[in-house]
Order: sequence, then structure tokens, then C-alpha cells
Amino acid sequence: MKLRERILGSIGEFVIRHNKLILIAGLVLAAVSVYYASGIKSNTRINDMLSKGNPRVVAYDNLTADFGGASMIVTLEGGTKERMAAAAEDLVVKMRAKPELSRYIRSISLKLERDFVLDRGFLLQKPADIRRMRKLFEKTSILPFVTGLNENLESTYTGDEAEEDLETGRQELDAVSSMAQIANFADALRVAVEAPEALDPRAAAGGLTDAIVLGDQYSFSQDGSMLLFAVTMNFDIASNLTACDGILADMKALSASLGPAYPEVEFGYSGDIAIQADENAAMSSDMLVPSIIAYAAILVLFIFSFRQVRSIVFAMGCLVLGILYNFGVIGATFGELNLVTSMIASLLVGMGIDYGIQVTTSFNSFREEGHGLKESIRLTFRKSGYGVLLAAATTSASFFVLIACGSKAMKQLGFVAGVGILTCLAAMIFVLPALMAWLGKRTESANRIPQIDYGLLERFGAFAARRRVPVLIVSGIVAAALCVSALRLDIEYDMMELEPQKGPAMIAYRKILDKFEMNPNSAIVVTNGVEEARALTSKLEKLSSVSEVQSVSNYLPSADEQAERLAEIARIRADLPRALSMAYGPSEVDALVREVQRLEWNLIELGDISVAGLGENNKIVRKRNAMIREILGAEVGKEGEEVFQKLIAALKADPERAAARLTALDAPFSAKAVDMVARMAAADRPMTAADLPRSLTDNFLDKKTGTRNIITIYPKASATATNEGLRRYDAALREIAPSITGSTPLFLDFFDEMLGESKKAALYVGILVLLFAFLSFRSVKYTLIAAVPPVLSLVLLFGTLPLIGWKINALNLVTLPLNIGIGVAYGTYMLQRYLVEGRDLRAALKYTAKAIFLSAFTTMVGFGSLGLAGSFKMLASFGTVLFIGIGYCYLTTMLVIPALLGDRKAAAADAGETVIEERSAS
Amino acid sequence: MNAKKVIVSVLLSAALCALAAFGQGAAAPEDVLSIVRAIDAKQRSATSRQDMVMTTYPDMGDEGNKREFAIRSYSKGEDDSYMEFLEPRSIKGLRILGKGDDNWVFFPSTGRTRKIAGTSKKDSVQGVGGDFSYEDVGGGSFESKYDFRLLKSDSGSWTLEGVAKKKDAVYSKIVLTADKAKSLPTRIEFYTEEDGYFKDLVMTDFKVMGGRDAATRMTMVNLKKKSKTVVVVKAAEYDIQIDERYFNPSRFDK
Repeated sequence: MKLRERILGSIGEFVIRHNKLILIAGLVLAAVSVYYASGIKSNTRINDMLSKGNPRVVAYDNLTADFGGASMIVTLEGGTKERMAAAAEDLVVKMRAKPELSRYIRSISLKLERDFVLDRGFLLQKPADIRRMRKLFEKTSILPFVTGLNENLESTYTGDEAEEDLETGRQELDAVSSMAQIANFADALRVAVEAPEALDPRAAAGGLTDAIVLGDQYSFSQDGSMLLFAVTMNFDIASNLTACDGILADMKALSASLGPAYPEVEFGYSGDIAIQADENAAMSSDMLVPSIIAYAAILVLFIFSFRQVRSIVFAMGCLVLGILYNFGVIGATFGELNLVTSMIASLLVGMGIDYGIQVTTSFNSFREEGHGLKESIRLTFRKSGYGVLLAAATTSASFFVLIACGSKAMKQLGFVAGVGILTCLAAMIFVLPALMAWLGKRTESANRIPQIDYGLLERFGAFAARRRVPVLIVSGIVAAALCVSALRLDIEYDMMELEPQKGPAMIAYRKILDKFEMNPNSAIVVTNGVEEARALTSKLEKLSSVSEVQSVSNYLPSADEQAERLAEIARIRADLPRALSMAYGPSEVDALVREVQRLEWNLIELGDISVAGLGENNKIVRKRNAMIREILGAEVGKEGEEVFQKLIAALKADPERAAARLTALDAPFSAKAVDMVARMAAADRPMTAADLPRSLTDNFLDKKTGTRNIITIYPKASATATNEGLRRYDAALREIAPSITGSTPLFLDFFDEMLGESKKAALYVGILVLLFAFLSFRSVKYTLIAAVPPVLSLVLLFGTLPLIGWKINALNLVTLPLNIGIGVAYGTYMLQRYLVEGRDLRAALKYTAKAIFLSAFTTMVGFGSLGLAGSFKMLASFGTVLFIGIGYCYLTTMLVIPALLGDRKAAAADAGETVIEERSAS
Repeated sequence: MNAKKVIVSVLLSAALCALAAFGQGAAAPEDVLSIVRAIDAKQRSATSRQDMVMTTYPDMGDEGNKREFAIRSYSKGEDDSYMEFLEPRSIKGLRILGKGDDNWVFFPSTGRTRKIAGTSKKDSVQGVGGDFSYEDVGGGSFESKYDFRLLKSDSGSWTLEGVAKKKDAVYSKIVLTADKAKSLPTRIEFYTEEDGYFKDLVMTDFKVMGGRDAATRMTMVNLKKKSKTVVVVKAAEYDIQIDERYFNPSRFDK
């Protein structure tokens, strides 16, 4: 008897003799594991999985240390703009008043403060714009004012001396902002003209001047149907994962409390915190539900596969123990599960049961041959123990070798999965036989449950062995064809495609993409001062992929710029406009109608001009189409708000009444306008950071230094809609500043890292597997045959994915080394038995076909359950890809290996020869 | 052969070589001018009508981010040009008339015609020309704008350097490569004082259209903005009768 058989036999004896002790030890270990496992947290932060040396991770960690960074984007839809704004204001008041929320809030970017705009507004405008404003407010009566507005527009964009280009995101936003001001003004004027007699002209005049000077204080979509604001927390997601669920719950409770006052307004949530909450919910169900499904499916299969129900129950119970031990180790070491390791329970259900299957199958076959309980256990250890240990050693070593990879995600997966294999193995070779020894049936009894006949699988393999040439040819053709298909394999770089798609945060995210034509996943960078921010912002705004850059430099012009602007402001101050008063009659109303029509035409033409530089569906066109109507050359498309035609209709409906209203309104409007200009022109010194309102300082500046500041970059939705676009956007950011970080750059780095690490890991695992196989078989031929299923299955897998419309992503890349490490086991089992049975393929198939099928099936179910039940797309894709990969491993094991080995007995029988059996010394 | 005859032969040969060299040098400036005039002549036409597709790429590395315009254009002489947008639908019917330094734009969406005066030659054609400026599409011969010298001549092409004659020219220098067989430019590099090597125009896909050989694909790359514009000529006719209304500011919008 070989040495290893003796050793294994001794282990078997030990288990038989001390079965109760082993069981008690197993239970104690389980209790300890539960204790440690209860402290495990889930952390889906991508940057925590990247190598610590990654400059973007370093930049992100430094940034979040000073600025916090977890964000919540709140959206409001429904009702008028005024109602949405009022609802948002009330929500913010409630947020600040709730201590459980307000203690986490660093800043809320709801609107730009009115006082700040009125006191410093001129300093934020270019000298040419200040001159235009000065000219605009030279005549402060309504009719001349509207005429001046037209002249202003024409000189800026559409007329003889048009100065402004429309090419960059900043120019686009400025134009949209002007359009919003004009639309609000027209609307306010219409309301004033249509208003009942009781309306206070001064209040109406205030509304008019606010509309034209302040415009949209809130962030509305171009069509005015959605309001959006951001809440930034004073912590980073990973530093306080547990707070996220609570914060979101509180926000939802607050918005629900506003329901009675604003029944038409619907609140939505996106951003880091809401997405994290969606991920938490998905992961909780993705960890539990698929595991339960896998467990149940395996249990049902076992009931119909094994005569001895007890052994099934014991095996399943030991599987639970093995997984529990693994979670205990996780709790005692890392204390957290990341995106990659969160699937470990489902993986172990599928992989860990393999050893139980081998032990149980072997045990039952010896029992059926008439051996007693304890003798069957001894024989199981002696005959099958080595194969089980070898398979477990190979698989666990394949995982442990991932620790050599640079990526933290791979290291943790390698450790957790490697340990998991060993804990399941330990449970199956110690606790399971101990249970059988203590509680197993002493006598065989008939099982009335119908059993699956696995003879078909044996015949399947035998067929492949007899028809080896055609099988090998067909396999080769299929492999070649799928190899060609693999060239079309696409990659998913957009991490949002991998989030829980049906989660409320994703739904809100897609609405923001659509309505604002902006991707709310921002990139961020910190600079040490305003001038550095200015230089960087200027470069970023020129990128065609960038929608908006939020920077403190937008609110703090340079010293030179301020000097120029102060000079212009001083000219205004020296010659302030005078309050006027004009009487309106039907001819003045007519003139106003003509000017309003001219205003509409100017804005229509502005949209036409913008198409050339900014594309057909730019924000200016969308704003124009929303506030007026859709314009298609000389044709008209969808209806818009028709703000100008409504005003014209109001003026024309009753010109006498309109004239009276305008007369009453004119003087207060003029007075308000003059007051506003005087206030804005009072700025007589440069602005500093101390002049910024709290909403801006909280948002942009570091509290410690007051000079370090954060720049937030939002890409265009269209620029990041494709993989190529994402890559270009990222490359453009990297070229400007390598330290620009944020979720999109980090995810792309994560993908690159996982790609590199997966290839490395696959190589390491491949070498290890070949080494193990060679040490075991001591034959190059059988080593190579053992390698066929994992290698061929990868070719088949990558060729199949494009055919079913699946893409490779950062997570399912990990399947590369896993497929090799897990898939090699089936061939190893078969080859090992083949050699033990003296190169008798039929005998090998007889003893291994069922076990290999059950191993493969349970693993596939374990992974596949993630794909079916997993609501987290990233995890689901991982499960599905492995399901297909392991399936191919099984098929190639049952088809190609028998074809390669051939059936010597059948061949000899055909040739009329006798085969001398060579039993191996084992 | 006696010594006297040898000496005379040598002297004659030397004289012939000297004459040949002199002739070469004496002929160079004239040749360059001839080349430039030949190129100008090939491109000159009394009138023209072209249907083209212009595609602008704000970021030349991003082929997916583009604006495509289908345009019909008419030109008369060196100063009069008319462009009408056929696509996209949102600006279909938009027309631009250029007469010398003045430009008018007709907006079909409002039915108004606006005069755009005093436009800078270096600006993009009413914003819709992409990387082609008024200077690039405007008339005027190479000979009238630049002084040329020959940089290189090989079997297939000439490379000429042209320095602007006027100090306020949009481009301080151009380097023009022309195909010898066709006497047509295949590439022009544009230089400015401020930016140096500023734009690059490549002309390819030569076809006979309207009875003359011309490039049907022109790619202008703006090296500063890293943008590019591609114009593909679908159809062209030259020296044809064109209705005067196309060049009349009060009628071109009808």
C-alpha cells in the first residue's frame, strides 16, 4: 500500500475513533465563527479595491480627508418651477433642522444667494458684458428696456457686431442662463399684464427685475421639468458606510412629510449615498437569495441522486459549517466584504459541496458493494481521499496564488476563496465522516425515492472515446469558430451599467442624464489656490466632453480681471440710470408686441447658430425648444411653452387694459431696476473669499486652510455614453492633470488593474495547475490532457459571450483564473481514476461520471444563481459568465478527455485483440 | 585626336555646363511663378456650384462626436459666395451670402435676413464652417496673396513656401504641396505669427467633376484646437450660368 494511502487511512481511523470529539470541536468552531462573522461590513468602494499606490486613489483619499465627499443628488419633478423651488427650499430647511442629518452635511448647493448676486454680480461678469448691461439699463422703462434687450442679444450673438462664439460648455451655459432670464422676464410680464387689479405693481416690478437680473437661481433642466440640487457630506462613503442607509431613510422621510403641501412634486435621489444604499440592498439580497436558491437546488438534486438521504443531509450541513468557518476567518481578518468577495457564499455553495459529493459518492458506492459503515469510511479515505485532497489543494492553491497579484481586490479574493475551499474541505473530510460514523445507518435500506440514472453520462463519455476522431474534429471546428467570435468581444467600461439597474438611484440617475444632458458622476480635483484653480478650470472648460466645471475661480475673478471690471462698474456708478416713467397707449402696446416678437426671433436664431458649434441637441436648442417651440428649419415640431406668444396674446387681448397695466407697472419697474443697478454698481473694491456666501465656501473651500479648493467636473451625457467616449474623456482629464480623480476615473483604473491582474493571475494559476498535475500524474501527456478543459472552456466562453450580447467587465474578468482553478478539477478526477483503474476509461467513467456531473452542476448552480437572482448587475454578470465557463469545462471533460484518451478495450475488441490490464500500484 | 581639339572640347563642354547651370538658376523664379499660376488657373472658375457634406469634429480624436451638414454652394468670381444648408433638419434652409467683406444670413426659422458686417477673415464661416475660415473659403489667387519659392521638387510633386505679401494677412506663411501631373494642391500647411504651424489642409480623392479635375475630399485640421473638418464634394459644376438672385442681398432669401 502506498504511503499516502496509509496516511489517509490513518486519518480515517482517527475520524472514526474520535467522531464525537470532532463533532463537538466543529460546533465550538462554528460558534466562534458566528461571533467573528457578525462584525463583517460590506464595502463596495472601487478605490478600496485598487492598489494603494494608484495616484488617483491617493488623490481621492487626500481629497476626501479634507472635503468629505459623499454626495446626494436630490431631484424634484412635477408642478411648476415655483412649486418645485418652494418644495426644495422647504426640504432644505427640514434637513438643516434635523440634527441626525445636519451633523453629516458639509454643503447644500440649492441656489446662488440673491444678495451675493446683487452685491457682487457685476464683478462676476466680463467687462464686455458689464458694458452691455450698462447699455441695457440706460433706459429702464419697460418698452425701451425690451428694445435694449433685443439690441443686447443681437450684439452678442446674432447681429451686425456679434461678438460671442458658441463653442464651449461655458458659452453654452451662459447662453442658456441668458435665455432663462429672458423667459422668466417674459413670463413675469405676462402675469403682470393679465393680473387682477389687486396685484401690487411694486411686487410685480420686483418679480420682473429679479427675473431679468437673477434669472434661474435654481438648477432646472432646460425644459423646466426637473430641479436638481446636490448635498455634500462631511465624510467619505467608506469611512461611514452604515450612515448611508440612515441618511437616505431620513431624507425620504422628510420628503414624504412634504407630500401634503406639495402633492404634485416627486422627489428622487441619486449620487454616492443613494447608489450605495441601492448596492447595499442588492448585495444583501444577492448574498442571501442566490445562496438559498443554490442550496435548495442542490438539495433537491442530491435527494434524487443518492440513496442515503442521511448522507445528503450531513453533506449539506457540513457545507454550511464550512462556509460559516470561512466567514469567521473573514470577520477575524479583513472584517469586510468588497464587491468581489461578497459573492463568496454563493461560490462556496457550489465549490465546497464538491468534496462532500466525492466523499458521499465514494462512501455510498462502498456501502452498496456490501462494506460496513466504518469500513466504507476507511475505504473512502484510502481510495478517494487523495483525489479529493489533490483537487482541493489545486483549487485552493489557485486562489491563494492570487495573493501574489498587486490588486487588493484580487488579493482579498484569493485569500477568502482559498481559505473557503480549505474550510469546506476540512468540514467534509473531518466533520462529514464523523457524522457518518456516529449517526450513519448501520444497515443499508431501500430508498423509495426514485433515483436519477447517471448511466447516460457514462455512455456519453464512452461514445466520445469510441468516436474520437469525429469528436475531436467537431470540437476543433467549434473552438475555431468561437475563437473568431471572441475577436468581437466587447468591454463594458461604464460602471453605471453594472449597478443595480432597477434601483431608485439608477432611475433618478438616468433621468438626470436625459434632462440635463449631463452625467452626474463627477470627476474632482483639489488645487492649492484660486489661481491654480483658474488655470485648471480654463483648460477643463475647453474640453468638448465636459458639460460643466464648478470651481471657486468662477466666483473669484483674478486681480487683473477685477480691476478691469471695477473700472467698468465705476463708470456705471458715475452715471447711474434714472428712474423713469412712461405712459402706455395702444401704439406703445403695439410697439411692445413687435419687440417681444423680435425677442422671440432673436432667440430662435440663437438656437440655429448654436447648432454649428455645439451640435443639434445642445442645451441652447433644448432650452429654446422648451421655452418657445421645436424649430426645424422653416418647419415647426413639438409644442413648447410659447412664453413670447403668450405674452403677445396677453398684450393683444385687450390693448387698453394692457396699456393701463403697463403704465402702472412702468414706474415701479424702472425704480426697482435703478435700485438694482445702483446696488450692483456699489461694488468698489476687489472681492475676496471672505465675500463669498457660505453655500459657496462650504462647497468649494477647505475649512482648515481656506485656500485649498475643490473643482468638480461634470461630463456631457453624450460624451460618456460609449466606452470609447469614456476612455477619451478619462484620457483628456489625465492629460490635463493626472491627479483628477472621482468615480469614473477610478473605475476605469479599476478595470485596467483587474485586466492586468486577471491575466497575471490566470498565468500563475495555470502554471500552478500544471505543476500540480505533473507532480500527480508524473506524465507530460496526462498533464496536458488535464489542462484541456480549462483552456478550451475559456476559448469557448469568450467566443460565446459576443453571441449572447454579453460584455467583459471589471468583475467578470476575475473568472479567468477562477475558471482555470475550478475547471481543472473535473479532468483531474477523471484522469486520476483512469490511472487507478489501469487506464480503463470505462471504469473511470463508471466511478467518476456521476461525481463530476454533480460537482460541475453544483458549482454552476452556485454561480448561476447569482446570474438569475442577482439584482446587482456586476455580480450577476460574474455568476453568469462562470456558469457558462464551468459548463464548458464539464462538457470538454466529458467529451474531449475521453476522446483524447480513447477506449482501449473497445478499440481492441474491434480489432479482435485482448488488452492486458495495467493496474496502477495505487 | 590632337591636343588642340581636346582643349577646345573641354572648354566647350565647360562652357555648356556653365550655361546650363546659369540657365537653371536663371529659370528658377520663373518656374515657381509658372507653377503657382498654373495652380491658380486650375482652381479658377467664373462660377461654380457644389453639393457637399461638411463634417466637423470638435475633438479630432473622437470620431463619434461630430456635426454633419449637407450644403449647396454657389460662387461667382472671387468675392461672391452663397451657401445653403440642406441638412440637418434643424437648420435646413439657412443661407449665407458673402459679398466681399460683407455677409448676410437668412434664417428660415424666422424668415429674417441679418447682415453680418466686418467679420474677421480668420473666423469660422458664420460659425458653421468648422475649421474653414472666411480666408480659407474666400476667393483670391495664391499669386496675389503670397510670394513663393520652391522648397522641393520630386517626380510627383512640388513643395512651395509662400510668404504673405501683406503684413495683416491671416496666415503669415503657407507651405503648399501640389501634384505635378494635375497642377493641383494636395496639401497646404498654414502658419501664423502667433501660433506658428496652425492648420493643415489635405486634399484627396481627385475626380473629374463638371469637366475639371478637383479634389473631392478636403480635410482641415486645426492643430491648436485639435479639431478637424472634412468636406466631401458630392457634385460640382463650373463656369455655368447662375441666377443672379443668389448673390443679391435682397433676393437670396427668396
